[in-house]
Amino acid sequence: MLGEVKLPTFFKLICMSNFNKLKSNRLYLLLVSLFISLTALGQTVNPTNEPAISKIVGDALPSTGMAQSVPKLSSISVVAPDVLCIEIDACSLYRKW
Amino acid sequence: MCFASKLMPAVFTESGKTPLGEIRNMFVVRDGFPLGSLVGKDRKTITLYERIVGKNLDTDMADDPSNYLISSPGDNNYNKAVKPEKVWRKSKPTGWTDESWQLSKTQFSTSKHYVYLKLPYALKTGQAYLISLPALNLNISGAYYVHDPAYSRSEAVHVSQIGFRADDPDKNAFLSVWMGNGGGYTYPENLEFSLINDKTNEKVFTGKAVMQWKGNVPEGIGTMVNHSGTDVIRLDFSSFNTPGRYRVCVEGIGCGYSFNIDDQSTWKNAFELSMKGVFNHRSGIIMGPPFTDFVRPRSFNPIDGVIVYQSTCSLLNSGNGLNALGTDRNNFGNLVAGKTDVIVPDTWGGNMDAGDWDRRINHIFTPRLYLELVEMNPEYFKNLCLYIPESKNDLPDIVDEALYGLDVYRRMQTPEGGIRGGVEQSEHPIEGGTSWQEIHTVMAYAPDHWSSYLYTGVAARAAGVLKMLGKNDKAAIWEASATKAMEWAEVEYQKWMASPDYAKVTNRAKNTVPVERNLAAVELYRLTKNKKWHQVFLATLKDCRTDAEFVYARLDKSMVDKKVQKAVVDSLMAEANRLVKLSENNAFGLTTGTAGRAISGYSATYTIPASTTLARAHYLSGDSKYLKTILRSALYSAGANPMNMCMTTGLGENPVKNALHEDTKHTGRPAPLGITVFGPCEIASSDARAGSDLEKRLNTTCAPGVSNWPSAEAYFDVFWFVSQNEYVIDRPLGQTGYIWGYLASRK
Repeated sequence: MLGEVKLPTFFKLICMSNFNKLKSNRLYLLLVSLFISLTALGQTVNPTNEPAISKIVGDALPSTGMAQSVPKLSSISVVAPDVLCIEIDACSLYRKW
Repeated sequence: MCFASKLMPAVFTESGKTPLGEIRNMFVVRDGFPLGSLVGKDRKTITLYERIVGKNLDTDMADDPSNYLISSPGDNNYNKAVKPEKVWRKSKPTGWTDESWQLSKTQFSTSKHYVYLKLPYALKTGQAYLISLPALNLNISGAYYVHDPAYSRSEAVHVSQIGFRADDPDKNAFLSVWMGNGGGYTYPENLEFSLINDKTNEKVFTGKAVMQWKGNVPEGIGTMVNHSGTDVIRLDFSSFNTPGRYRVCVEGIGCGYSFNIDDQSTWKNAFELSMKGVFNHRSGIIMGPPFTDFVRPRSFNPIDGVIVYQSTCSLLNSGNGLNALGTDRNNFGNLVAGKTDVIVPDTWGGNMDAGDWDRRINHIFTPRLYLELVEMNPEYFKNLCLYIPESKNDLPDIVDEALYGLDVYRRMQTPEGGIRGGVEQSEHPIEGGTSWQEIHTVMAYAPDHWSSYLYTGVAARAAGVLKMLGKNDKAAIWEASATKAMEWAEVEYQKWMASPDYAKVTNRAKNTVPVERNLAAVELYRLTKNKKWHQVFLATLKDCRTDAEFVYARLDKSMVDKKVQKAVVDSLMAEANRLVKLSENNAFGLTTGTAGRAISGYSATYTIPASTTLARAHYLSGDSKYLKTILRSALYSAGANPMNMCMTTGLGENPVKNALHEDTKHTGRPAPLGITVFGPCEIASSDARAGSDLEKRLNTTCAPGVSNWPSAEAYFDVFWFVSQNEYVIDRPLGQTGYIWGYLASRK
């Protein structure tokens, strides 16, 4: 479940206890726009630390641990006396069975 | 626990229908997450998509010279760590996830990167160098390289991984490198190379490298451009013929893969592998040990409830065949439109393709070649065991393999004699499905004269071989079947030409059918000695090609028109001489392409070891120039190519891996042994041409862009690059087994 919005407690307290003191319409508008902005920010936070599962076919699953290895240096050779060739293999297919 | 909610129910979506209204693909998505596709009877099996793991190379970091340091305590030039002057790179995909074509337009790939470091100073033999590259975030932050060109393998040295028969008169390796955005490398003339005994490390042969083809010179094959993008140097050790295991090493550079030279086993091993590849494509039987490690349930056998309906459409009139009238808008339309409720019995067997599972009459080009090998050297093949289910019977195994491919067409022969063009489903396989899970309607083509001529030629040849082996009872069955097919075809052929529709027949069909008629006639004449068939052959000489020429060339003088026999021999030798010239006019000595016609996808120009015509010319003449040309041409597919890759699964140190074999891909297994793929091509003449969807997919990994790769190196070992990784029974599998078998068995 992504995006359940929880306003920070200190912001709620400010809003409730001091509301009557807000005589200025400008200040009121500022607070409303701040509320909306923070709400939007809150929706980008994942409160339960759930892994983001890609919905793209073939994309890597999260939580595959060591399988998410870095590219491997598989060979170093010379193709000419002054040219080294470094071979690097990246990624592997996660078989079905 | 990190999931706050329950999994949502799966969502099923359907995609596509056959002309018969059958649903093709059923995709499963759960919680927005694509799981796979439903396959098999009642769609009770799910084929899960493959997924990719691991991190990609940060190519920006890899391309920056400041991210590398090279140092050496024993080389004064490198006592203090130095950076390379330049970094070049080429990158290519090495595998694609098995996933839906329809849902995904990207297809994630694994990749291989070749990073070339241009150094300020040449390395010194015997010194150790530390290559430090922590910024690339690889599995190690640095590695030592000991520069010993007599021991180190170099990507630039290309050697056949089949090896050589000791008396092969042409033994060569190649030296070349194309460095992606670094272009080609120009080696100095007269580099010294040596042959080193792999067991004793003794230098047993020394030679001078010769320029085979300059990188800026157009080649006389394909679209007449340079296909290597770099100089190709040849390393000739033809005069060395001592059996053993060796490596070819070039001074200052390094060695190729080790290989064998021996009296018997090299070409024989390769031939047996190719034969196993064809065995692995037998339809209708259970596959598994001890005959093969490829395990598969029985497919397309009526015993298991598979029903094959007769279609009124012939292969001659189908897009899967000649589409003679040009009426088939897709390959299955005419076949499906002609479906009847009549059930065709005995439709099991034959060899199926890997991507479609069809059995088509043109597959019997391969049995035709196998039987020709037996004709040329029956003694060699008599006791050659291929470890197939028939190995305990009294026929040579190669004959059993040929008959297995042929027999389904005999069993489907109509009482009148007509031969059906094969058995086919109503569409290409569904996504993720395997041959034993096929759910589409299966149909047999109506008989036609083209299929019947084609069959006649091979069945008559089979009868002749069986007679030669003393199996007269079996031979009589094939002779009767061949004769009946020919007589039926002759009547139908006349009707075809007399019909009002003949005016609409395509030139391709008009030109193809008579060639098979000519061959069928000479085969039947050779078998029966019935002069009627001799007359048909003589009357159709303009349609005579090398298959038929080779038959007539070997007939006893008492049976031939001597002038015609001389003419067909001359014609065959002229064609062989043209191929010798073709081989001399391209960097790797290829013999199956054409000057001026693009090396297209599906053509197998790089992977058919050599033209069959050359073997026939060598057999007839004994002239070693033909044998030498075969041997030179056979190097590329055996691994002596810029990728150092054998183009047959299971062959050598570095074989092709992702042949388009659906049964194994969709069950998460490696492709079976012995498959030779279509291989490299000129990209502009393939399904990855500029602007194509495939080009975009390849270019997510390829550097430089795929259209810039020289065709000698433009092979991408990924499953769905169909025109490179598919193959059919009759190309290049048939020719591969034939050439390797000829090289093994030649006297």
